[in-house]
Amino acid sequence: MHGEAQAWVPDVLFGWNPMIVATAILVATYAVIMSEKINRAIVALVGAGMMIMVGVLNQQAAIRGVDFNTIALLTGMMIIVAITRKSGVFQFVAIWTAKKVKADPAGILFMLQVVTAVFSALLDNVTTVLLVVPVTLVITEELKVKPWPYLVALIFSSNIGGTATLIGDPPNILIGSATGLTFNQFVVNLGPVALACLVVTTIIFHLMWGRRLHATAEARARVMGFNEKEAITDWRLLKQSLFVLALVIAGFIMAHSIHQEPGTIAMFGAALLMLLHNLGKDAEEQSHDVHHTFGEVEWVTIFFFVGLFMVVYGVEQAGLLHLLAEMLVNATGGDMAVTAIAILWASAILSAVVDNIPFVATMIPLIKSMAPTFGGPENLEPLWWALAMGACLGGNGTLVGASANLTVAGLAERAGHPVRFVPFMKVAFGMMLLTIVIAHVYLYLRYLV
Amino acid sequence: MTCKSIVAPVTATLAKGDSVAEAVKALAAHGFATLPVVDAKGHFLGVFGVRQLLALLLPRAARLGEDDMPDLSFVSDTSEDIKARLKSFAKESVGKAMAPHRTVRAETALVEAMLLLERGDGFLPVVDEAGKLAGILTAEAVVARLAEGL
Repeated sequence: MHGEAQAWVPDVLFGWNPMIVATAILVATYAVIMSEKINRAIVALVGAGMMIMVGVLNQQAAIRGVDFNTIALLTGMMIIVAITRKSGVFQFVAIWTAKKVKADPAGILFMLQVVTAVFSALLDNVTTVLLVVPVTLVITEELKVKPWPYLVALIFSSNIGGTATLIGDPPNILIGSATGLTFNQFVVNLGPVALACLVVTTIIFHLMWGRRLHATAEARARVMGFNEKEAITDWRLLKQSLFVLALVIAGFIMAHSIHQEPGTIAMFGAALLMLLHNLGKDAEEQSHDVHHTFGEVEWVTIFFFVGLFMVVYGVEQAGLLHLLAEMLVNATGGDMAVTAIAILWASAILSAVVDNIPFVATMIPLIKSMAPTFGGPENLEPLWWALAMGACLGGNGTLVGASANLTVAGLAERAGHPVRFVPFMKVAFGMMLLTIVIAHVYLYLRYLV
Repeated sequence: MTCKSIVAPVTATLAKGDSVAEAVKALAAHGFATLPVVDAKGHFLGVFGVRQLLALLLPRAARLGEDDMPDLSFVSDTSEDIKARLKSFAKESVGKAMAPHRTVRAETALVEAMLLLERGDGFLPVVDEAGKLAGILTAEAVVARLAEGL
């Protein structure tokens, strides 16, 4: 992730030990991020600034620490989705599937999980739930059924769907970018486990809730009366967006053979879609449109990543991660199976209670430095899949486990249907552990036997 | 210049315990689009009017705002469906359905009040230092005063 090591030697103020100073900055940064008292982007940037100011890094070294492939991939996809969502296509799909099951509440619960999982695999999870939750709330209100089962199920399927691909969830973007594992490798290795988890969770949600959901014939007729075509606000934009989205996904699939990084593909796709969207508009309209599109990029997330990359690079340069990796290898006796299983469970439990992005960002260089123990970087693959599965699926454990969960809770609260921490955890934590058991079995059978 | 000489007395208010049905009748009886809501001691609490009524008539997801629920054109509710929704809210209290609203004091500079009127609903509740409703400042009254002697 960080390019070739350059000749930068930490030169810390007052001759303090770089490892201790860098560790203190990392711990303080993570503690404040976890306290949620200060916006996480601010905390990460302050932490990065301190790494440079005290001399653990200099500016050039800090910039080398930033994984611009990840930044470009995130920003590019955010731009593509910001434009695509204006066409109303996502509402169209949600309504269309609801009508396909004749507006049966249990059928809709199932269909919305499938739709959310597919969207989440191809888009960012937060974006997916932003698109699916509002229309879900309209449908449940018209059916006069409680939205709670739907909201919980959406959270699960967004995190499970996101596990399946390189672009589905930020931990996977980070891992893919750092290791060079391709889009196809992610699908082939994580797709099956995501599918298994989706099947199991949809069955459980059906037995727990779906089969008890009933709506009157009148209420169902109201939903059947929805006109999904009315949800499409701009047919021209719809065609342009789907064309570019298909092109970008084809690009991800062929990335290896066309020798391009996902960041370039996403950013080029974003530029292409902006070009198509602005063709024929006058200068003022273009300026307004481009301004609005860039405004939709979640800069908080982008700057959070930038700051975090620098903080993690600081501790890496100061030698802490190498030391921690040695300790982990000693603890697991250098056994691949034990190490992989330990990473899976530790990432799952930690990701359920804290933000999984800083955790994964720290684990990546740590796992990389274990390469010599396991006979080279090519043998580390099971560890990467363990980290990805643990971090993505673990996010389901509590309401704060993933950004998508908090987004659902925020939307639901504003619409008068609050999703609370404890009731969610009572349902979710056990089910999250079940998905990790599935991941455990999969990991063992596929890579460790 | 302050707002003092333009403030009109309060002619009608709603209590937070009033039902939505009572509030709708009061709006119609007084011919106002919006009325201030006060507590038993006359403290200003918020406003309830046609906009809050519309919010009750729409699917709840409409409360997510323009960014997250950009349109509802696909919904095929009939006027009967919408009336049924109103009925289900008829007994709900105004205190639950009211919206917060910016206020001014009689001593507020007129230009500042005009700025708030321009950015808001066209009227401002005027409160005293204890937060009690003391009057109403409307855009119409401001314009009428400024147009005097033209």
